[in-house]
Amino acid sequence: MSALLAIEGLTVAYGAAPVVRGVSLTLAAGEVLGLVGESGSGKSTLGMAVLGLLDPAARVEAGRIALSGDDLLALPAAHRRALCGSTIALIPQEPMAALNPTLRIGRQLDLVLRRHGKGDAAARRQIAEAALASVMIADPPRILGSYPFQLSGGQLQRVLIALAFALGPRLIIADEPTTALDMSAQGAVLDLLVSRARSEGAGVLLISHNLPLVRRYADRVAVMQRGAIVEEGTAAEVLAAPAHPYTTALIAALPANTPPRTPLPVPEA
Amino acid sequence: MSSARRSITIGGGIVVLMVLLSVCAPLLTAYGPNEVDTGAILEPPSARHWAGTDNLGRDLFARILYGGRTSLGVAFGIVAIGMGAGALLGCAVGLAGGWADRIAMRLVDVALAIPSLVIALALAAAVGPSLVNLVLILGGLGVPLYLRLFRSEALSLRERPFVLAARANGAPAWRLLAVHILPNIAPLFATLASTALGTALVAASALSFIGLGAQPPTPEWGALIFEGRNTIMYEWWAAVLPGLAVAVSALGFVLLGDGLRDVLDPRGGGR
Repeated sequence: MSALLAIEGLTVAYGAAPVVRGVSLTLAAGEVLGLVGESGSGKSTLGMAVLGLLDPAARVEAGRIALSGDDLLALPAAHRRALCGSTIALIPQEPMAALNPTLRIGRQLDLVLRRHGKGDAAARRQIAEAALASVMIADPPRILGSYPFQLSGGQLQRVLIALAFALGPRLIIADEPTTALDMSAQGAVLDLLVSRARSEGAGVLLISHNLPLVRRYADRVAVMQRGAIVEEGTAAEVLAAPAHPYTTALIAALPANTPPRTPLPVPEA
Repeated sequence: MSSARRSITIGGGIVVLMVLLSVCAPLLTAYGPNEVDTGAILEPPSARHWAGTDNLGRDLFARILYGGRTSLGVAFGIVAIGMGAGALLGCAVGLAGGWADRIAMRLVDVALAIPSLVIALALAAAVGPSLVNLVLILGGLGVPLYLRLFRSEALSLRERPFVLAARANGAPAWRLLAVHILPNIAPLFATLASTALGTALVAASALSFIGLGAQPPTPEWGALIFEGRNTIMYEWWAAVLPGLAVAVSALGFVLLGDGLRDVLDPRGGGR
């Protein structure tokens, strides 16, 4: 497989303190790469570096980020911004906080579609409704007319997934997409995200500290510790027989260390 | 009723009343504010002249009502300029960060180090006293303060996930500002604006009182107090009534601002 995303020797630093240190990763189209590690290990910073949304205090010191062979770091800022939301999409951490509380959902979707030149108002409205329907949201017109506070966390995360896929992205960066959701919603949201990405041939960088979920959904796993990748391999290999002591420690830190492999059974209504 | 709601009701009621009295002045009095009647000089309050007359026989009730248009209008103008520009610039530099932010903050530090009323006096004297100059000067002097306040609000909003998500969807900077930052500072803006209106009203009246604002014969509360002070020994109401209008209006604005702050800002906890 040729690499969709190729990160080579990426170093990102806040002032003199490097938070991502010489990271090299590849991600193929249609593949799910799990990026795991404890809080502060640099996972999110890596994701933000790919999006070009690093904090103003952070700087890329060295390395290369290539999307389908094009060096993202060499692109002019406006070019890069145009890729955001269309070619590269972010599925953010907290769905409850990831939408503007003062705007209706429909308006927020419309702003993004308009930004990326998706036809006139009526056409955009159709795209928005179809996008919501494609993530199994019942009654899209009602959801489009709602404010974020009127929806549940699971519904909002579906809206965000619909938005991420509405513009046919090639790379999805999912930064702890299920942290704020309950167990049953977590499985449903990731099922949706991963199956959709696979069917559309988009690569997913799944940033998470939830090892059971990563084991279930990722093809490959990279383990990050203090800014560096300490272990990488297929999800089954790495999580079943970790080679690095840090990975072993992460797995040992799981509450019961016998994570549920299937979502909790939900009684039939 | 909670104390916040009581503040809003009383403060808002006062503000609405004062604005209505000023706006509806022609319906409430038969006299013009500058209508001289040499046959009725320095009359005490009576059925014909509810607040008496001044030394030119002008009806004081009419002058206070019409004066409210000037005084309240000036206060709104000062806040609109000072807070409007301050909020816009503050949010812009807070969102932009980097060198724009650093330069703006150093300029604000310098501006805030100079006592503003002294500058207002000097500027008003330099450019000549007039209401327009008064609004521009007092409005302009408010900009640094509000710039800093709204910049810190923008800094915290900038880190909110929905702003990050908007950036991740390719939103250009102006849209981040117009759609995602400015609407979310509205509660803070409303709260601060109300309190600021009270302060602006008092400051504008003070400068008019010392002759650097409204010029005769324009009715304005500060100028009316000045005119009334000559006769305060035997016609106290000529100075006291416009003074009361300033005090009551300022109180209304401050009460409204206090109540709004308690209701709109969950950090205040004063529900």
